[in-house]
Amino acid sequence: MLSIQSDSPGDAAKKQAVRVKEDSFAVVDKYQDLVYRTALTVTGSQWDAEDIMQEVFLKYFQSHPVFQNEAHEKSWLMKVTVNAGKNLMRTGWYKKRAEIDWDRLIAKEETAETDRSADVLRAVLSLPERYRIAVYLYYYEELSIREIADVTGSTEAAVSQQLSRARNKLRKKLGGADI
Amino acid sequence: MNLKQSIQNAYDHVHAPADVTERLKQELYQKDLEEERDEVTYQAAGPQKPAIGRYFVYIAASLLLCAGGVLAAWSMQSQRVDLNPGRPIPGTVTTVTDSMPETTEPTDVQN
Repeated sequence: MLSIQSDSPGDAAKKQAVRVKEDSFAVVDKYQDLVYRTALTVTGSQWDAEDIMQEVFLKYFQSHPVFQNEAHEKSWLMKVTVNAGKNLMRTGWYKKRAEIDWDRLIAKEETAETDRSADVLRAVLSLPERYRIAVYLYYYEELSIREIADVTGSTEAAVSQQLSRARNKLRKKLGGADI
Repeated sequence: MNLKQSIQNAYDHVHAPADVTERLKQELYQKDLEEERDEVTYQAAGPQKPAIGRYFVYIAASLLLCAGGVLAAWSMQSQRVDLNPGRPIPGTVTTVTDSMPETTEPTDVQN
């Protein structure tokens, strides 16, 4: 005898809620570093980056955006993060900037590699805002110049120029021999 | 090591702090719970019915206004002062006998 078991509407809603919650957590786990690194690069402050990360994910789950693919989703998150960072820095009260806590920011192992990484990161974060965004998106996220222009809302020519100038500055800061 | 590798190595060491991520997840969880609670409340209460009492209030207020208007008109009409009592009121019929003085003694015409 065939028996059909159907969930009550309450059970179905509960299962749906659990599924949505698991999805939310999976999205956070997947993109937390991307959003944090982008926010850190835009603001140059880890404390602001933490606030922006929260803001971006809350916006993500409130607006329920629909994406064509993973690249589209990633691009959306980067764009929203860059805009949130720029908005924060544009506000009048954005004057006080706490020093970066490098121990908190970079993994604790004291090796030559982490020291070198800290130096590079310090050099990148000391660049002007638009330069460091271009550097991060180009070298780390490996976006094309056109994609960077789309994320930052500028032109391709401007991005190329920013990258060129940023490279020169980084060479000076880090010593041109090994880069 | 070239610039790209240096930058990639540097950013590879940067991760979102675990406490911040945990706080974010807690916040998302709380929001989910709130949404679920709202949904359950809605399901338990059912969709809100149109408030019939409100229509009664509107009708009563309209009736009161009309009654007030009628009362005011009646009051104005009853307290009207006629400044020229001899003047015939338009729309009314006046007879001649009404304006003739009454005679108290009959006059003898034959004398």
